[in-house]
Amino acid sequence: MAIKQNIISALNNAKTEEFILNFKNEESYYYKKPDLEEESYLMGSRAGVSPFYTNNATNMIIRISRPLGNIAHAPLDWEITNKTKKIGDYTCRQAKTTEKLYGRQHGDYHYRHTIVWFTPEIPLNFGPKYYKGLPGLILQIEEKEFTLTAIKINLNPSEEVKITRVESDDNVITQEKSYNRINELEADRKKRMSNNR
Amino acid sequence: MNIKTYLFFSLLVLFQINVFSQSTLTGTIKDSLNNPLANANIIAEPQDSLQRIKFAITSKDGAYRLKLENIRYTITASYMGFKPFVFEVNPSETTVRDIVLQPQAEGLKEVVIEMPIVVKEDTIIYNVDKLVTGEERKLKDVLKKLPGVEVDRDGNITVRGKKVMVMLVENKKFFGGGTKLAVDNIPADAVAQIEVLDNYNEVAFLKNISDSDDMAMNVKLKEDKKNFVFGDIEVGRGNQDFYRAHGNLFYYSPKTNLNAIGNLNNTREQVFTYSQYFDFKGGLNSVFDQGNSDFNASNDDFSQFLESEDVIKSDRKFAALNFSQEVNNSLNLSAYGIFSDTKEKTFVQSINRYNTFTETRELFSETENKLAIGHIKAVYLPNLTDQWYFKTQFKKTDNGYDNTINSVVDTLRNTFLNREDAVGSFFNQTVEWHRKISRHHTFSFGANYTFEERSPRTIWETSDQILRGLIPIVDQSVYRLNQSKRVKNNDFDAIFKYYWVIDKNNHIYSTIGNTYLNHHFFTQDVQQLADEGINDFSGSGFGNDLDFSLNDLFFGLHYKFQLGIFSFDQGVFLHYYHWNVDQDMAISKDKTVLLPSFSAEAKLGQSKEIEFDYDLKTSFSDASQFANRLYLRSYNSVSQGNENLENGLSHNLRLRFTKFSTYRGIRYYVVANYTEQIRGVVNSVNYAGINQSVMPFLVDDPLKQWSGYGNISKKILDIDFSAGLRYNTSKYKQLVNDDLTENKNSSISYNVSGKTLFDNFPIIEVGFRQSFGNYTLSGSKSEFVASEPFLNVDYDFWNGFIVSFDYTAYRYVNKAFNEKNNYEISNASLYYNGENSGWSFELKAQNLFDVQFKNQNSFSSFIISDTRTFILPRIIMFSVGYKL
Repeated sequence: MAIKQNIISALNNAKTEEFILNFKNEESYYYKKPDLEEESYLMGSRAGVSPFYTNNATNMIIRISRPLGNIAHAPLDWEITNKTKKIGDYTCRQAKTTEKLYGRQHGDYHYRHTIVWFTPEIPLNFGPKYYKGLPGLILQIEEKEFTLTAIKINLNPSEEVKITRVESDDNVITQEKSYNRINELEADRKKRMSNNR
Repeated sequence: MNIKTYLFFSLLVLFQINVFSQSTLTGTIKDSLNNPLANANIIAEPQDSLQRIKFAITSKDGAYRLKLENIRYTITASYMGFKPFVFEVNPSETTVRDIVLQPQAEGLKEVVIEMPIVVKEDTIIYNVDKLVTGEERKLKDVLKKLPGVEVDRDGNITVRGKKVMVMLVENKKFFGGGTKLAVDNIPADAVAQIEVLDNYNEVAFLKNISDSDDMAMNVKLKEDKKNFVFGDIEVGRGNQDFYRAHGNLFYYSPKTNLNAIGNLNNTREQVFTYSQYFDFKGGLNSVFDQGNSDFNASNDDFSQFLESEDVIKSDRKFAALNFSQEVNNSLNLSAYGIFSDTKEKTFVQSINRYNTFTETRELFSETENKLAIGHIKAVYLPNLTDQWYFKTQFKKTDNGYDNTINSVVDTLRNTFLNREDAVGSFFNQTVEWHRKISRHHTFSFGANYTFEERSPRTIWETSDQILRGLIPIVDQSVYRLNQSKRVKNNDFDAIFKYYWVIDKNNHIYSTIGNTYLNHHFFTQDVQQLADEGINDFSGSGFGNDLDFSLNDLFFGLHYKFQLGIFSFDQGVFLHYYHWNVDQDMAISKDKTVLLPSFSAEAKLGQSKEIEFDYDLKTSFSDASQFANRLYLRSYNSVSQGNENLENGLSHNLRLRFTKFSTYRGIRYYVVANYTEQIRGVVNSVNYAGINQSVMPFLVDDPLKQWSGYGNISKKILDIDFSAGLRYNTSKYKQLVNDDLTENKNSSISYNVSGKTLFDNFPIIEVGFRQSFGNYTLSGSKSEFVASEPFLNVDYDFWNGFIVSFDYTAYRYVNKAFNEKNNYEISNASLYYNGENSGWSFELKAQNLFDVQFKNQNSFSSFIISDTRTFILPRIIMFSVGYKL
């Protein structure tokens, strides 16, 4: 009971999600830490629940989306600012980017400014989700709806790190294609709904 | 990039072209064996900080290309496992640069870096290793190192201005959840992590739907302390027969937890106090508290037994045991027992200025408190959606109090002896059932029964004819008055709450409950005559035998909703009271009271939060206040209740703002409170010389009170600066000699301090506290200033030595009476615990300056007192400890 109780109270008493970013050599894999899916937690996270796979050698940034398949993301353009701050013991630099996003409801594009903090003290190009390509590990992402912050970093772990690889010949679609697919799904749904009426 | 930003950047580039011309720096990054390093980082930082930082990442063959302006740059090339390489370059002079990185001397081992502080929605996690400095011995020393956490001398913990109500160790309540036993006993080196949980509820699925506002702290132990018995024992011997022995044992395994604490001392160390005894009430989950009526217990019967901080003799024995066991998958049992025996002597000299005369008074008192607490709790969790709680609590006290008062008014000398013995018992049984029916529907049911009995017996003895005119006293050479009192309470509550979650943003909570109280109050006052006869005062209006019963049927409806960053909670409670006061004649009354409440909360980003609460509260006095016949209160005071009292009503407003930024190291909070009693009970005091008679009355607008406090702290260059401000003002009515007067007092205090946090350097905390007070009592004014500079030093050196020193100076100036007081208190200790050794040695000096007494000034309704409280002399003690 102790463990069961603890997990339940952890879920209810801390409404945050934890994610894990694994990296090895030129690859990284980012995913939501599995935990008890309680009824009210099926809504998903504002920070998204899709895993991401990246590969520096093949320049791949892939969102592994359950309904849409593997979606390739374009690398982001970063601007490093002069701002620094400490996260844990690491001195982090601020970097900014502007993302182009597709609005499913209106079928148009909009832009979002995102701020991340990376540390040159860990000279790796990785980061959570598709945020990567900076000269240092990204430790924090600030977006309007959520903030992702590193809480634990394990370099050179004794256990084998889990990376779910996506091969370049695995059916990967572009973002534009995924938008079309969204539209198709949406149209389908509308059709079904009107048929049911 | 959208068009606007695109334009902006092109303009910027155009502008820059005018000023600088661009160059390209290219090259390769390789290791010392000439292997190209792919994905290596290269950052170009302009020496003119207004220019943009450039960076590049090497390709598969280790090549990089940096587009730079023609200005000087500092360039850093880095790769995991290699030493960073730094050089300066002016791209107009150099265009190609190949870099060779040297491997880092030590190979990369497994490195786990945990962030020292993690702030999640309602949770702050402190990874203790990163924040402590090594000289901590108990949990309280650890907590003092955590940003945003404060621990006071009584073992209370506040986090960001909010008090911690529940203490957990490994998610289990520690001795019923009180904080003092935990902060004084848990060894610092066993603590791995501290979690602070806001809006905590023991029943986890109620957390987001109840209005629980409790803060809890959970101590997580280091892995190597689990499944092992750990703890420590310390024995010390000092000058003048002073001694101290303290031991504690802990055992934590996934299924069984055991804690034992024992202490013997005569050095005034307060392990457990009589006032903590009252906090161990048992009772229902806090979700049932909202909207309840307050039934104020009068503390007349035990206030004299409360231990004072300053004593001339002390002898304490304490033992406690806490146990919890997971019986099977769905049943958890826990229990604790606490035993304490405290003997104390105090000596106080005071000069009391009444309106027309001055009294010099010496008070010598001796107290013995024996108490025992037993608690058993069973938690039954048949499945994920049902939780059952059964709690049983027993308490037993046996108190003795003896005092001698020498009072000199002008040349008249009086001596009063007072002896009181009180035996009390307490029993509480609760049953709770919480059930989550579905995602939308949850309910809680709680039933609570409390039985309480106290029977104090008091004797006053003097050769002076006391209370002349107030009691029909028979002339004797020695006057001896006996009082026996008996209080017997039976309380029963049953509450049902239903939580309806309409959707994510709309909740409706409803409550139905009933409270029934049956209180019996009995007093008998007699004069014991020399010839063994008795002069019973019951013929002159003395002697109570009162039955008081009250039924409170209540309903509540609350609506909570979320709008963006705001959440609102508003509702009403409707109480229907029916009460009977039965003495001489039976009085029966009914009353209906509507109590609205409102609260709003806004999360202004990650670390900023603002909260506002309003509620109307109602309170009832206890049976003694309704008992309309006389009884003695002290050698100079008689008291009488008032059968016509009704419930009091008060508005309460509270505003709280907090900001907590771990990264920038700045933290602050501001709290403001306002209380206005619309109707309340005020004691009417009639003075006749030093004698007084007291009777409660219901008065309109008896009290208005504002208070505000705030604290700001910031870490600058390894020095933690902190400043606080506290403001208090109240206007209250008093009935003195049948005149309704308005009094006012206000005080403002501030503190500033700085604390060094360097490695390998003493921790030095220097600070200053000052408070200004302002009293207006029945038209006469008084002002005082109290200043308190303080210094604390902790230093660990030579692998295992810890030296600590603390010093506080008190200085008090009363302008109106031209009074000045000061005294200085200081303690010092030298502690040694060799590395990998369980043995420790300590030499400690308490009251280093051998101060005899503390000076204090106080103001009460009609008296201004200047008091000297005598304290224990200097104690120098040598202790030996062994850590398991």
